[in-house]
Amino acid sequence: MNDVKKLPLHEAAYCLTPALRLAIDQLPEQAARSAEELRLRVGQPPSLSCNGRETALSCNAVTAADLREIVARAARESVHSYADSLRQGFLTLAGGHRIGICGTAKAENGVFEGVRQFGSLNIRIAKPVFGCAREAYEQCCREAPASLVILSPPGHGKTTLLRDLIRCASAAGERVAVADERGELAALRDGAPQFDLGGAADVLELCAKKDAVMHLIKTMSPRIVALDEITSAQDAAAVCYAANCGVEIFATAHAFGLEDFRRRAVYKPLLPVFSYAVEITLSDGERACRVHPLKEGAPC
Amino acid sequence: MLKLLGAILIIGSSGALGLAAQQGLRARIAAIDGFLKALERIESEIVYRLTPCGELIALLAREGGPHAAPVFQDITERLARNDGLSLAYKWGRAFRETGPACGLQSEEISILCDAASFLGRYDSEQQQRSLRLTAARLSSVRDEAAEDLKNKGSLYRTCGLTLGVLAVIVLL
Repeated sequence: MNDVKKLPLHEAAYCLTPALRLAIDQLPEQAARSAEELRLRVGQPPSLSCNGRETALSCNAVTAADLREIVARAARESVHSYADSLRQGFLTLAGGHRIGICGTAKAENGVFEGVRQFGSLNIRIAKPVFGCAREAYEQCCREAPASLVILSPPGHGKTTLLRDLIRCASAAGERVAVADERGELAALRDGAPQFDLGGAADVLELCAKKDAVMHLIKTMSPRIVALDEITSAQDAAAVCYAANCGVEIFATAHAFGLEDFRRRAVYKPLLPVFSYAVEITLSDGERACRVHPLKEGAPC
Repeated sequence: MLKLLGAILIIGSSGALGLAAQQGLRARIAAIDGFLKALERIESEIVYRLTPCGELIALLAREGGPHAAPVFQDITERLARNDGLSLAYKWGRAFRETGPACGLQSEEISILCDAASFLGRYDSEQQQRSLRLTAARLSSVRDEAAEDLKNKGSLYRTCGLTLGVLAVIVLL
């Protein structure tokens, strides 16, 4: 039973109300181990999500007061101290778990200011996979760090792979600066990364990629800049800026594969930047990585 | 001689009872003033420094003054216990258990317990509004207590002395 208590789901459940925590504690070990998300919606029983499918738990429906209580506990009874994070719609828990928040939005002068009335919470269970990027790192950065982009559709584990790549580079003594716009790579809490990124990583979180990259290059003199989810022209410009400053880039992008990446207009300026593309495929719940050289002369 | 000594003792003790009752009214006002100041401090810490509630309560336990500090010290000790109970629960228990010893009465304890329903649970603006409402409710109780002191304070002292004198006359 003690082992079950140490599962990531139980670690994330510390912020739940006592009744919900009891329901989680009573789950079979297999269900607790495979849980990826815990969904809480007002008027519905809580449900566990695994491989994208939800299963409702047999307990009472969640109330609005429960959600308020959970957010307060997650914010260590100080919601006001987490205003910046809540404005972005999430809260980071100890251990790198994350609560996504939905409900009635609060806006001022047409600008989204966060969620006023909570309607549903999504507790994402963090599960770092140590060593998942070792092979890709050795293929791409055998002699010296090289710029690479990780490609896959959402939910395939791009962020997990990038995090492990950062760990590999950091372990090899390369200074890595992490532009963590959504706070997902490091999940800082009181300044300490909740995910192990190695001893040579510096993190700037909750800052737009363009500003973060400039700041990191000027202040931290990194060898590698890591950033998650290049989705816009501004993000692509930030990557080009960093590449022009002589640092290597570790990045992720949404694409169904290398051809899809090459086709998309927003990624076109990035093609000369990256030496490698690491493509993640998911088949029958099994993930596989394939490294594609993008530049002539890049070793396979 | 013995009669004179007895008379002095009776008048002195009944007078002291009256004075104690008057002092109780004074202490209540002083306690309410102490918690009004604490509410002001809580508001400014939350609005201007976004201080987490745990730190804020520990700060008031150190610097909250003689009336408020013991209650906040009690909350701090309860927060240090990792028992899964919420701040709202611990706040309420501390006020109900330690508040009376600090000079608070049930009316103001109930108002201060209500603060737990929003403290740390909303953004700073909403908390500021709720804290001001709590302070306004507490101020109105303070005004009533001050009125009580004005009307009943001297009465209690005089009654105490008069009862003592009457008792001496009857006994003689």
